[in-house]
Amino acid sequence: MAVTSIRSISAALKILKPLHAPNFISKKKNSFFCKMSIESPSLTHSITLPSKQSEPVQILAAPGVSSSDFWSAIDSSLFKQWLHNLQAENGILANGTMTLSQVLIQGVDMFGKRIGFLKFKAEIFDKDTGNKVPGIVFARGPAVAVLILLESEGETYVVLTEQARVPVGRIILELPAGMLEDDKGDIVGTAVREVEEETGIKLHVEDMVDLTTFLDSSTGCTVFPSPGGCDEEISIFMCRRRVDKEIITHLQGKETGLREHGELIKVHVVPYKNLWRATADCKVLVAVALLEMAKKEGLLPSLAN
Amino acid sequence: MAVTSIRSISAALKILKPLHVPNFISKKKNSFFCKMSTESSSLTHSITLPSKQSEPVQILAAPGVSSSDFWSAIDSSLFKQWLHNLQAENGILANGTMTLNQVLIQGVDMFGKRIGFLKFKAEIFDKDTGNKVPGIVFARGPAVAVLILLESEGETYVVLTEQARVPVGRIILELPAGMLEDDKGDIVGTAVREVEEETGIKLHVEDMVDLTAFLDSSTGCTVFPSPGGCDEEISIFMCRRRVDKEIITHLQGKETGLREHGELIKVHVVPYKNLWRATADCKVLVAVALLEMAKKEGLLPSLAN
Repeated sequence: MAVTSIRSISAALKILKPLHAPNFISKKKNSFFCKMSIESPSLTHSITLPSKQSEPVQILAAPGVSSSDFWSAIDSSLFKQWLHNLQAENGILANGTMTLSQVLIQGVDMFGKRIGFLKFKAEIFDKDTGNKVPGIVFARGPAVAVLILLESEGETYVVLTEQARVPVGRIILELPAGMLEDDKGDIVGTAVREVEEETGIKLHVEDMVDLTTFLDSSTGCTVFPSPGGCDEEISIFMCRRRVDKEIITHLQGKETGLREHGELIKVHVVPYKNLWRATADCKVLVAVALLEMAKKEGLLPSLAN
Repeated sequence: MAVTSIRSISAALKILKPLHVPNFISKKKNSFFCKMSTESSSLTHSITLPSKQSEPVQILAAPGVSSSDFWSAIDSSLFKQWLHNLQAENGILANGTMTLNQVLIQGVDMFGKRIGFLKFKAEIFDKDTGNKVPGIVFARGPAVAVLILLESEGETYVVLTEQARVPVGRIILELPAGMLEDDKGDIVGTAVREVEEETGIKLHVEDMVDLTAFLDSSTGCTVFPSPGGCDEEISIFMCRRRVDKEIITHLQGKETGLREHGELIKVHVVPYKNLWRATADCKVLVAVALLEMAKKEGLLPSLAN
């Protein structure tokens, strides 16, 4: 009966619009998926959280989310890390007053075969008051940024990247940075690699100082740029090096970056004393705060004024 | 003929699943919209940018985006502000080397009748090299945050909010803050109102100092928390007040916030000297950087140590 219905839908729609639908039925556990994506509430999945074994959490797909994207989202480290965060020590679900009942997968951005970004809406509410917490999430995963200090002839300079950032619509200066992409175990290595890709500068792992570890351990020792909307957490490293003046002049105006990834990154070298005013990038100002306060409290003796 | 087809689709689907489809055809310029959201590629709109009058920009809707959401998105101040940013002085399109040819509206989150968040993908590329810039945008609009300094018995304290932040999955400390919501003209007023809603503290507009105004004007004098993914730009104000010790003790542990909006916000008072380590919130560290560097350079004489 279902097949007859689909045949008549198919015939009817051909009159309206040509269909680009070769493989339009695929069977998956708990999902009847029709590539015409009519009312896909049939794409669902249940998960059980250790803290709430009696009531599973429903994961649903919003209309327009394909079957393969739905399952990629559920299997992704982005989503699993988010679930992990909810249940961690300072997680929202940790003390048992809040509960997660449902997640709606709204959108998936694939970067080739990898998940790039996820957008979803979680239903989390207070068991006593029934109050729902705003639950829309733009998930991109963790990142690392580096404050590179080059000392030359008594002056300290900082290496910044300049690139077009479509979300803010502008070309802006930022700390060299990159996303951790599932190798969260090797944050320093990723940092060194990103700096080399974006600026051509080869830093040494042993010279990298993690500024975010100065934060109280209760914070998790990473910073959240936009916790009201985005899952992003950033580690910030600092690296100092003495260089000849020619290096400074050479770096100015050099264009680097992986053009084949659509990145067009220019390098800027800015005197450290001007840094705090020179850019709108939060990563820069966070690095300045951590550096200045750590210096002030004697935590970076080699940088004592 | 279209109506016959739709009737047969409707009849067929009733066998599969009950439909919640009252008003399913609406006519709009350039769009035939069927609420069953089949292949909504028929939802399109063209806009012409002043800088590129010969080639209009196509705005498309991704599958699953309803007609009303599509038109709300195009009409929203979020989207218009983004287009404006692209064409402003340091905008990506300003110098003519890059071009915008298409925008795909991927998702719209309505907060009641208002647009809350937009998600879209812009095709922007370099005219010479053909290189595309990463174009996915999570748009939420501008916000304001306040560093409230309370001075009591020779000690300075900062007022923070503690709330569940679903995107990072944790309960975290942050600067009191709020979104500007289309009244971008009155940033200070919004700041004062948000602080009162979240903490119960009534600040005076005339006591508010814009820390982000210290940035070079080329930056636009706001900070970008996550410019690689989000359009957000934040103004940060500072406000100092002398208070009796009872005020400090009273504020600790007080629960405030607009419960009916799903916000459950607790107030924390933290000694300023511990602030930089106490939280993962970038807004806090950005405020500390601006404050400390402004003090250091004599720009806040009343706060000289």
